[in-house]
Amino acid sequence: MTLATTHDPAVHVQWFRRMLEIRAFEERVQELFLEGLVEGTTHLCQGQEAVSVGAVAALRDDDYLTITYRGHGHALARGMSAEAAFAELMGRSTGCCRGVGGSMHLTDFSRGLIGSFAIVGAGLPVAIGAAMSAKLSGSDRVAVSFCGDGATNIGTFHESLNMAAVWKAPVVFVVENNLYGEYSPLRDTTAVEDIADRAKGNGMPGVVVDGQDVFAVRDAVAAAVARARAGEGPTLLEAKTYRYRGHSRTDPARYRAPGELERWRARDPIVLLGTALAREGTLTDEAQAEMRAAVQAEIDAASRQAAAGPFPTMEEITAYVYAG
Amino acid sequence: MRTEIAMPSVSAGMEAGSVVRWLKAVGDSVERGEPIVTIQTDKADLDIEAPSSGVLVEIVHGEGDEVPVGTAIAYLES
Repeated sequence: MTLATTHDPAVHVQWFRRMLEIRAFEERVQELFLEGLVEGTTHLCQGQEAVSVGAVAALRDDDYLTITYRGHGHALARGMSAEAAFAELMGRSTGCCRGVGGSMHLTDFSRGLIGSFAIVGAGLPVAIGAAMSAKLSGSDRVAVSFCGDGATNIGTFHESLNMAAVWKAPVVFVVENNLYGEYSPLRDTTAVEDIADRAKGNGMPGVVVDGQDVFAVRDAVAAAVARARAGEGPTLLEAKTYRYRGHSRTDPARYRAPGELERWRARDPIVLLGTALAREGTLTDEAQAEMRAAVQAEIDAASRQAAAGPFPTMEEITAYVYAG
Repeated sequence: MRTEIAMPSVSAGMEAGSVVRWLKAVGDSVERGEPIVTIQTDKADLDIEAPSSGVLVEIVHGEGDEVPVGTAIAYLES
């Protein structure tokens, strides 16, 4: 999705639809996982949809993204088909990585999705590399690196920010702070409350963003991207957000304080956008309900189609391991 | 339509789980996504949600039963 302006209501409706798609996709992944159809593990992002959709809305089609193992939302936001994503999770050769990557590695170079990393913090240096390739070749493409709050305690995070600042790399670092690193609350592991405070020490602007407000995310990323494209270097954005589910599917997330989940659900990003769209007359409640049903039907069809896909053959698998 | 609720597979290599507590009784209405039973696996206790809305019409395995993955533990009528 390439957007020139945020003021076009038709575009806001596209964001709404995409967030509905991500939510429905994640809910279906849960069901598929319990049926034993998803290979390996999975990390879901219900509650965080506005960050991926808002950020992607500020990018050009030829910009680069590195994402994390909690990356289904980003891949779908960037236009990956639900069927290709489902098939990848189910280990089918019709998946975006021919079924050999799985949930944590949704990649599609044609959409600028140059890597989805299971190793915490590993995407930041790769994003800098992509950004520098653009800078050295004289293009104004930028790279966006998504990571979580936990990644900001990794050495690579600080090394990457410092290097990006020194080189004025055209990169934007988006931290999705969902308050937990696996099962550990932020306050138990992290010396600052606002991750954005770590920007100054690494020589760049740091901005806190309401991660549940898709407009706020879009505008903050757009401003950071404009800086990068103009050669002014990197920015650290911290999106305050929350995941409704546990860290991964086997985690029932009982470590949360009572009432915390409900407080965040009261600021559900899809509901926030839907309320705004209804208030402005862009999309009535009835139209939203119809859209929700249509999206659910598409997700149902995509998961069924993906489940019918073939598994990779032994010949296919070794083709991606050995050169020649 | 009668929908089977089976002991799910929540981790690679999981062979069985136990029923810890039924959160709903036979005859109760349930909504899609509502937790209906707590199961115990080797990793954690987990609430299983209703796959669709309907009425819980049969409980096959009661509290304390150890059940192989994939075996029916209850039925919903939607």
